[in-house]
Amino acid sequence: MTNTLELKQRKSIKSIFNGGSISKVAIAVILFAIIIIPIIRMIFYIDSNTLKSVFASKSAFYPALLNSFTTTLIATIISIFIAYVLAWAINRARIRFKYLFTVLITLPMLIPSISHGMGLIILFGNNGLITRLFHSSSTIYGFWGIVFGSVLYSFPVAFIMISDILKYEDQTPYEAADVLGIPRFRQFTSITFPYIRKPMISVIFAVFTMIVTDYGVTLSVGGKVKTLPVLLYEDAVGQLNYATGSVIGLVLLVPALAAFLFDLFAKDKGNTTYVVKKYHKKRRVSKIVAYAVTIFVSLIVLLIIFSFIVQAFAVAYPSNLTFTLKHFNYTFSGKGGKYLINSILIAFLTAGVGVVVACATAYLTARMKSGFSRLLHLMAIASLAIPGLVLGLAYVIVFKKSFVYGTIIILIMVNTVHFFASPYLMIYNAFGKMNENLEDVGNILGINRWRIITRVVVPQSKFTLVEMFSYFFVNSMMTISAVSFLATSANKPLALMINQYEAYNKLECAAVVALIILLINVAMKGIVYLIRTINKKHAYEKTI
Amino acid sequence: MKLEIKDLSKSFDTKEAVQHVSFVVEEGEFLSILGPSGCGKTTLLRMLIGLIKPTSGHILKDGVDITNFKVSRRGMGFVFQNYALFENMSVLQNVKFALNFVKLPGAYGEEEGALKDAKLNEKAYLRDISITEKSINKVEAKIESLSAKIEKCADEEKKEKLEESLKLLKRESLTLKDHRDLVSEHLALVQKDIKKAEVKLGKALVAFEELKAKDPVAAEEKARTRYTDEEKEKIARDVIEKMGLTEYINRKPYTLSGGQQQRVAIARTLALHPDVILFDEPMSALDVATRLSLRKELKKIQKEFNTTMIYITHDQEEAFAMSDKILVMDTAIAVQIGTPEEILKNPANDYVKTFVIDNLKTKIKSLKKYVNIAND
Repeated sequence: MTNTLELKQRKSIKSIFNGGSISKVAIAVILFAIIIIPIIRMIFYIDSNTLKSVFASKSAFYPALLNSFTTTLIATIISIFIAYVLAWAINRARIRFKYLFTVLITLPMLIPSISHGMGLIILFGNNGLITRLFHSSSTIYGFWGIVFGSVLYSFPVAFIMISDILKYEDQTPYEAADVLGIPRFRQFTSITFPYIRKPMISVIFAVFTMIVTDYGVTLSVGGKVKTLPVLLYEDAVGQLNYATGSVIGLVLLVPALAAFLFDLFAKDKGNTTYVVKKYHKKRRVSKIVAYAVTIFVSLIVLLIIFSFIVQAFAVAYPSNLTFTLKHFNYTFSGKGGKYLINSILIAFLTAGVGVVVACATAYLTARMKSGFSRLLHLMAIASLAIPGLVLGLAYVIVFKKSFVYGTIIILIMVNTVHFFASPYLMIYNAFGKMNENLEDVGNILGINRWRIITRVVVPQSKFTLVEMFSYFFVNSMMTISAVSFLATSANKPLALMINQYEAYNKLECAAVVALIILLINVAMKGIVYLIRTINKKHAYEKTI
Repeated sequence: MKLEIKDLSKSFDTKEAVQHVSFVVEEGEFLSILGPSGCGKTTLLRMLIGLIKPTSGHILKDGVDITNFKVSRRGMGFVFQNYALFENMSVLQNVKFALNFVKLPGAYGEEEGALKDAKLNEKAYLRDISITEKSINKVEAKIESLSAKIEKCADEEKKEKLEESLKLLKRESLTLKDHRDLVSEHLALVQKDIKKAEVKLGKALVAFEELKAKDPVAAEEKARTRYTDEEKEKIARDVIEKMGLTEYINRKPYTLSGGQQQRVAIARTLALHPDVILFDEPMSALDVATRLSLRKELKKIQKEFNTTMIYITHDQEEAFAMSDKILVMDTAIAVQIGTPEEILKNPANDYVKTFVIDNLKTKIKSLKKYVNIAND
């Protein structure tokens, strides 16, 4: 039929958008406006004079670049090594209390990065618990402080990522290899290595980016050693010199963007495997090693939290260890109470807004597929390529003069964008895994799409929604990166008080704040855990 | 319900998925569409239910053109290969859920709906005609300019080439005009449908007014457009019982076996009383024993409700065991339609011979030597 030619032309334009085109365009425009435009504006903020001065031969840029690179490289290697051993211990050696160990190992993920540096100071500083215990004179400030603080801050994230890789490795190829008499070493090179290569590179990139873009650890424990994020922080937050900040921001975008692009292309080639049988090893030696490592790391984590407790509750550490609540009173006699309420409000609202926007976007990309969905999907995960510091700087440049500046709205906006990609991917995967015919069934049975969404699709993903909510909440509670540019005395979140107390060397109050954030986040995680267990039990009872 | 499929085609971008398929399914008949994977069976089925819009062609149900009707207005059910159950709901809820949204005919809803549906058809055909007209005009313009060129052209060789293109264009113009005329014919029919529907609606309105005056209570009952809770519960429980699922009524789908899940999907479809049910390889994920028992049940339902069933499969044995008629498909085209006997006796071509008959024979042969042992 020749007239189909014309129909076809119309169709191909239509099929780019397919269903839900208006919503897709609307969300794409919003995402473009709040993610891409600020970054472009930041780049255009740079002028040639600033470029000259930043890259001048005697500028602070080069030493900071070198420090950033070396500390991050060393910290990444150590962090990945520890994380790999831990992930192996938890997933491969059959040890007990796995859940407890996992909780302990991932506790550092619940507090701001700056508190890891602070923990090191409390333990190993001039008056540190350990320093005094061993009468050591060595000091933690400087290069190695940054390295160890960064390891503390990043290894739990690496642990979770590597655990995910190991958890889903299939044992059947190994069984087949055993049957065929292939030696262990060859098994590693021909089965294990190809399987973990790409995901491990992703982990390395992610950890490197995470460390290289963080200013918290260096600010607290770096002493005179400065890294790029600290330069950016000092320039933009301290001296309001946004142009210089933008240049450094642009440099920091490079590793993040590289990581993002690598992930994008590595995933496209399809690295998913179908797990027939999970991998388990039974050797006793491995069990002992596994216990040793997990217990050791758990103890270090607990030691740091213990150090916060000592600092927060002792009258004057180290001279007077009598119990007191005066640091709590001091912290909350000022604006601490208000900032705590700010923090909780911001975290709740970010979680609420974030979950709704992520769900709507994921529904359009995962369940109403068209050519345009792919673009929308890319925009939704684009925030992965933007470090929090850079995002904050871009936001302050764009929104400084708008009515949202100085209100909690801007913090909710920046947090939603900053943490958007991970929860979005969670729900994208959940929606994608659901039966692809649900909407068609609705169509056939006369149930409209909205009802299928609210009564079938959303209820089926309720656990994912809870996880997403908790992700947004916990990260909003502890973040100090993007928000540090946008906080004023009116909308400041609690976590930023740590920076303030650090600057005045009031470690007791900083420890109080870190403990409160930890408590709130642990409570949030506890609630998530309870919801899951109660529902699982309920579901089980219903089936019998 | 008699279903007539006329010259149905579907193309995706450059790929022709279904080409000019026509066939008829009589009321209460069981038709299998048999063909290898990727031959266009599912596309054909999805066009019948309306999930995919055909590029051209028509679907008539008891003489009414339903090609452009909304999916849920076609009175058809659809059973998916992967069940597509609502995992968060129990068996009972799965079956009951759609009943909440069923709109009963009410006072004169049926007549009103028929008029709306017919108007939808009219709109679609008018659009098709207008697009075709535009294409015709374009082609005609090209023909005119080309003819002028040919007249002026002195070079014989070039002239010949141009004349060749002119011929092609003229042919294209003819096909377009044919298409326009065919759609216009359908448009005329649909416009008649509209007139009829208008008259019917008028009559129904008058009848309802009379009823209202005579017996207000009965009128109110007739005007009801939703099932009551008791009715929903009863309908759902009845079909669940019919599918032998009563003991699983409060279970979630993921706790059931594949066969049981497919039964729930069938129960969910039956609850809406469709007069045609379409099956998209519903048993391909099930084990042999479950298949056999489900086959029997489908035939029972077909007889009991006199439901027309169209069943997609790539399994020759399944098609021959269940069908009143079989439609054999090769890539995008229908090769033969007939009763199993007709196909066995007179295969239309070599493809039918090899894909259908030889495969079937091999299956039978491979088991033949065990028949006696099994019988003993």
